[in-house]
Amino acid sequence: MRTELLLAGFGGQGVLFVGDLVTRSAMAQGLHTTYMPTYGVAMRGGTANCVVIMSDEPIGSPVMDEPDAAVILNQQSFDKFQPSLKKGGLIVTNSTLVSKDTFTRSDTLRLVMVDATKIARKITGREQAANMAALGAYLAVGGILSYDVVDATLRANLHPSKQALLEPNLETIRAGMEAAK
Amino acid sequence: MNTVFTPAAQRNGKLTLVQGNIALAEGALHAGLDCYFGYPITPQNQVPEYLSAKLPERGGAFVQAESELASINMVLGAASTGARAMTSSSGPGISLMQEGISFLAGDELPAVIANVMRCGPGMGGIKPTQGDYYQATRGGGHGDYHTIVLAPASAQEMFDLTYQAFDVADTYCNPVLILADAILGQMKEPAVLEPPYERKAIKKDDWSLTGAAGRKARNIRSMLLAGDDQEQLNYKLEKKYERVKQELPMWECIDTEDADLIVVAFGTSARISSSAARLARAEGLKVGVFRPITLFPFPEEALRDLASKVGKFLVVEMNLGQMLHDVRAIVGHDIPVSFYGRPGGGVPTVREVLENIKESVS
Repeated sequence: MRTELLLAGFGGQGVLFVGDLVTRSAMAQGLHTTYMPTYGVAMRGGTANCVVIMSDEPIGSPVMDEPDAAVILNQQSFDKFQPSLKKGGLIVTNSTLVSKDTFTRSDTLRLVMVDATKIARKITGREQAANMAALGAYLAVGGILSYDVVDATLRANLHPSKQALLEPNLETIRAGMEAAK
Repeated sequence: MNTVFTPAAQRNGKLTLVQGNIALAEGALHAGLDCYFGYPITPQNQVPEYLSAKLPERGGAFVQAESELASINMVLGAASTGARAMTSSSGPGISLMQEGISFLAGDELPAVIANVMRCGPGMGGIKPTQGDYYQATRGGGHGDYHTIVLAPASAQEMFDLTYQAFDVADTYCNPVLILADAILGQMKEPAVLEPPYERKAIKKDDWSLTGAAGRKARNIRSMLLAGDDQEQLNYKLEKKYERVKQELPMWECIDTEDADLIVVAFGTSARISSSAARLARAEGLKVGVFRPITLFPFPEEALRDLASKVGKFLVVEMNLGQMLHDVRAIVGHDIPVSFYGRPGGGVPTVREVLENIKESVS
């Protein structure tokens, strides 16, 4: 098993944070894993993405080649990365911000749409947790990482100053899972 | 000294998800780094950022200098007192340091310089490259000298080789360059941040500048005007480089035993090539990877040994062919050596390398 997972969205939507969380969870689950982010000049509202590779064998290239799956939080990233996904691959996307009409690879890709931003707003009162809702949807349909490992990993790694956000974030992940079922 | 360290996953010890630049900084801290001097530049900024917090906590000195010229000369000053000193930079910053590196080599001072390569020439960009291979392995500054060059290919090796670099520098009284790139610096992967071996105690009190009270004054210099002193220094250095070539070469062979084609690549290119080689094997092609870990000294004997058994080579680099010429010189003109590379921030994809493997093997 080897999965190349792309996470993409606006700068500020937390795709690098969720990529880091996925990578840590994969490590905790005993998988080989790498995380390669965009770096350098970046701004809120610009684009951000990262690639996480998870495998049961040692990983050669850590660089994005042809993703098996993608978690995409905004329309620009959906348009940009849709063509690069592997045939038979999976896209989990945020239907609050991405229009289904723009899906051009319906015969070769599996699309899972969840109202990530709306779910986040409803549970936490803020849009910032949309990344967690989308992560939840990926956990439900991705078939690699278990919720329990992600739960434990977030608990262990969330900065002490953000502890108040822990339970709402976990609840948002679970709501994302539910929405993708 | 020429230990090839065990990959993270086969190590005893706690795995930590760590960024390459942080692993490099941790390697230096574990090696007993006394002084860091540097000037910011992407994609290595996490090294000074991390050390600016951690090094003073351990009693070391962190200085953000006013320039790369200042940084390397502060390294030279600290190294001459016997301190474990380092700097890190990228692209144009490393170019600015070349005079100081030449002085370190001429003065026979141990120091560690990390180059997290970004694309050039000129100001260039912040994307990854291996375009500094010539600069690193040919000296870079003026005069007849070499830096020892270590090329990591994982977060684990960013840690291990930086840890080891200080011992290598002290052993040979020579500057050691860690030649990484933006991918290795920015990516995160699990690594065991524990020393791979116990730190060597290497005496420096017979040459370092520690104050002349109670002994004859010492003078460290590379300007030798009397007689043939300068010529003699060069013979002395050459003798040292010969010793380094005997003692230090490090490399990794991946699936080379039965290979019809061997891909030669270092650092990130070797990671990409090993993925491509695995896919080629799945298609029935016998392909292996030879990865030099020391670029100076280049593992010549090991490669020549492979060339006596294997008919074809493919060199893959993130430049337009630099290590290629070393490989051609070593394997000789009778053996075909093809090349694939991308310059200026272009990163070869696994599929591109696989295509080149197929063309080269047929």
